[in-house]
This record gives sequence, structure tokens and C-alpha cells, in this order.
Amino acid sequence: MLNICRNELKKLKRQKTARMLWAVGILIPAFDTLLCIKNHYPFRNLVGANVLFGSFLVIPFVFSAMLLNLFELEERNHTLKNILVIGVPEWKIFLSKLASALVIVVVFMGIITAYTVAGGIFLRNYISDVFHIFGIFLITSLCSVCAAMPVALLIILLRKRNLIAMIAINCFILIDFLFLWQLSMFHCLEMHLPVLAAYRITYPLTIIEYTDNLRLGLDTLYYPMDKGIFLLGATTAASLGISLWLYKRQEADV
Amino acid sequence: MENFILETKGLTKCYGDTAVVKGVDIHVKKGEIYALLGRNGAGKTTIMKMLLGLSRITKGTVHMFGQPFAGNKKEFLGRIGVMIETPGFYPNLTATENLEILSDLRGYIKRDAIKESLGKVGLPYKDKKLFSEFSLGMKQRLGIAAAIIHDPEVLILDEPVNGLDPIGVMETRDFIRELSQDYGKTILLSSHILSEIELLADRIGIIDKGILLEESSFEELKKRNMHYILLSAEPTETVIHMLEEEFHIGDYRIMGNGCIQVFDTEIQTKEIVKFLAERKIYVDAITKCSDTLEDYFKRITGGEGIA
Repeated sequence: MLNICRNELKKLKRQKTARMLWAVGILIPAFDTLLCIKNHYPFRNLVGANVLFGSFLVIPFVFSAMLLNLFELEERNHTLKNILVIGVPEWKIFLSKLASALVIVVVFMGIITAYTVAGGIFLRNYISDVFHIFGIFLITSLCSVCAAMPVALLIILLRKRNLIAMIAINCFILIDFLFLWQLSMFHCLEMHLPVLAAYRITYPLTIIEYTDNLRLGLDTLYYPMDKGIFLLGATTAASLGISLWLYKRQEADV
Repeated sequence: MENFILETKGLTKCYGDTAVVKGVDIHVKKGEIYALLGRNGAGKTTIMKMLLGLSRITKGTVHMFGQPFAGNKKEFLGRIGVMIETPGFYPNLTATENLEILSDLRGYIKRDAIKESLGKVGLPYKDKKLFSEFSLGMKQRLGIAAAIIHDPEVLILDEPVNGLDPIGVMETRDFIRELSQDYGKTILLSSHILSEIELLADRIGIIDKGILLEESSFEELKKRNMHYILLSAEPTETVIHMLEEEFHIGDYRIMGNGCIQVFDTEIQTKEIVKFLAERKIYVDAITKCSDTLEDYFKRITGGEGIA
């Protein structure tokens, strides 16, 4: 399985789409960090901004686009038959692509952590716990990816029409982000959307320095942890289960 | 009963109500080169895909290495090398990188396998040229290299000389022959290029509109069908009746111009002439002819030439 996963990453070597996605993943958090430095925001705000833009916008976008790219490149290059005639089962191919996209997510989390730490140094109020910062991004990003997992279904259904698939997954990620952006409006706090649950249950983890305002925020955004985890788990399981079932059905005739 | 390394029984493939492959029975013996011959769209690739589990079988069975081909898929596929349709590789990677991915997935390949397989098809090892920069012929060669990288017992090659230049065609033909003769590999290939099949195949299966019309060794085919006596004598019906009575001919064909093709070449032409003359039927022309594979193909498929 590890071997297959490593090979999935090799396929992205010198690939234009992958390069563009790397650029997006590297530049947006950098821009966000520079903005915080320019405005002399406190470090806790830099972490908050990078969680919002990094973990809940860039990471789900990069994850979805990379996943689509990994599935679509087999279609475009007619390479799936090469893998299937080796005897690698469809579920392994599916899971290895998913795992590869998650590996890329972890790399980007590392990059966002590095930006945040560097931003903290510039702001001169850096809290030197790198692992704590990385932990915050790790948990928030994974929750955000789980909330965005229905894109796997879109990818499997639309991967043979790359442009439509790319538009569909971007719309999904942007709509999700708009809900977060307007969290206090449109009765968002009464909704039980996976992305809102992901943000609300991870919000307490992102607080590295308590203030009265944050206390108020914590009370407003409270969402029961067990219910949130169940919602995210169910979304992930259902999305992956249906996607895998569809993938196996579609691949029966290459 | 003969032992076949690959055998199908009643292999059928339907898309909705349309059957694209109808009850095909293929028998491939160990160490032989078996060629599936047919026009584009005859069903050759679909048969190959079904053999490999790439396409669902609607009806029928496949036996490989004497066992039913169901379950233990990896065990079977590890003994088969495959090149189906246009070779598909990652355009952003080099030939070596592409083969590294495939050999990694196979998992049990000897160290120099990539170098050896590239060498066999005349492609350089560790070259920096990307697959996207390859010519069609080079892509085809890489496809063959990928098929032989794990030293398989059986090779399934779909149109292996497609897109190759004349030298490349000759080299590939020699290479396929060498694999069969020197290494004892069993090869199932498909082609619509009759001249190639003629030079390469030990046995052929002629397929048309999804139906396997004939399956026999090339030598047998030549002896049985491609040599015939062409006879022109009237009245045709009476002549045929007499020949049936006297020489017990069963395999014949009346051509559009009234000439008769008799495929039993054991009969002496002078005997036919003498026999008919004695019965006051005068032979306008009689000669022994040899069909090319293309003529034979036209005759058996009842249509135009191939491709």
C-alpha cells in the first residue's frame, strides 16, 4: 500500500497542474501572513487567520484538486489499464490516491506552520511552541478535509470531465468557506453542516491566548464535541463508501 | 484432450442488447504465437480485455494455465505481460520513471529488469527524454518493454506493430519470434495487418463482427483453404453435382462469374478434365491457384479486404 502511495506521488513529478496547486498552497498562506505582519496583529490573530484561510480554504482546495488530479491523470493518459493488469485492486488504487492527497495536506500544514512561526518572529510576540502550532493546523486541517470529503463523490462522478469536475469541487469548497465567513449571519449557528461543525469543535484548540473576546467567541461557537465528531465521521465514511462503490462499478469496464 | 495455456468457452460480451463478442472459443497452446485477425472494430480488443478482467464477461468462461480465471487474479496476472491498445504512460515522466512505477507495483522484479527490457526494445535506460516527447513508434516500444519487464510466461499484445516504421516492424517481429522460439513464451496478439500475421503467427483466429469464424494453424489453413482448383465449365450445377458424386468434393464455392473454386487440392486437374470430357462437358479453363491470406480473409468474412 505504501509502495502504491509513493508511486502516486511520483506521478506528480514535473506536472503543470501539480505545480500550480503547489504555488496556490504556498502563496496564499504567505500572503495572509504578510498581511498580519504588515498590520502588526497579535500572534493569536495570525494563528486564527491562518487556520481560517489555510486550514479551511487552502487545505480543502488543495486536497480536492490534488485528488481530482490523481484520478484524472489516469483517465487522461489511459494508464489505469496498466495498473489493473498488474492485479492491483480498485479499492487499493482509490485509497492510495486518497492517502497521497492527505500526505500533500500534511506537507502544506508544515508550510503553514513555518509561515506562522516566521510571522510570529517578525511580530516579536512569537510563542515558541512549534509542535503546538503544528498540532493546531493538523487537527483543524484534518477536520476540514473530513468535512470536505463529499468532493470525493464529485471527483469520482465527474473525473472524466476535468473542467466540470474542477468547477464543481471549487464551488463546493467556496460555498463551505462562505458559510464560515458569514458564520454569525444567515442563521449559520443553527445549521448542522459538517464544515461548521469542524470549525466549531476545533475553535477552542486554536486559542493560544485567552481574552474576554475569545471567551465570548467560545461561548457563541460552542458545538458539542461528540456530536461534531460523529457528524464528521459519518460524512467521511458515507462519502468514501459511496465513492469507492461507484469507482469499482465504473472501473469494471476500462 | 490437449492442454491449452489459455482457453475460452462461449465468451460473450453485450452492451445492452448489442452483442459485440458472440460465443468465442479460443484455444492457445503453450509456446505458440496465436494471432487474432480481424478488421477494426471486430472485437479483438474486447476479447483481450475480457481475458484480463478489464471488461466484464457477459457469458462464457476463461481458463488460464489450466485453471478458471476467477479469483487469484494477481497470481494469474503476474504470469502475463500485457499491452492493450495504444500504450498509456505518464507524459511528464521518462521511460525509466514510467517503468519504475510499474515494476514497483509488481513488487518482485529483479534489479536490472528495467534496463534489460528497455534494451530489448532498443530504448535507452535513464534517458532524460519525457514520454510526451516520444514518437508513436517509441511509445509502442515502451509498451512492449512494460509488458516483458517481469519476464511473463504469456504475452497478450494488442496491435504490437501499430505505428512502427518498417525497420521497427521488422525488429518487433523478430523480437516476438525470438521470445516464442528461444524463451518458450506463449504469445497472443491481435492485428489487422495481414502481412505481419502471415510472417509471425503459428495459429490464427479469424474474427469478424464479434464471431470467431475460423481457428487453425497457419500451415493447416494454407493446406486446407488457401490452395484451390479454379474450374470453368458449364452447366455449373451439373458439373458440381458430378464432382460431388465422383470425387466427393464438399468444400467448393461458385464465384460470381460462374467459375467453381474447389478447395480439395488432392484431386488431380487432369482427372477432372478427363472425367468431364467423358461426359461431354468441356472444360473452358482449369488451374491450381493459391490465395493470399487477404483473399482468404475476404472470402471467409464475405466482404471487402481488411482495415
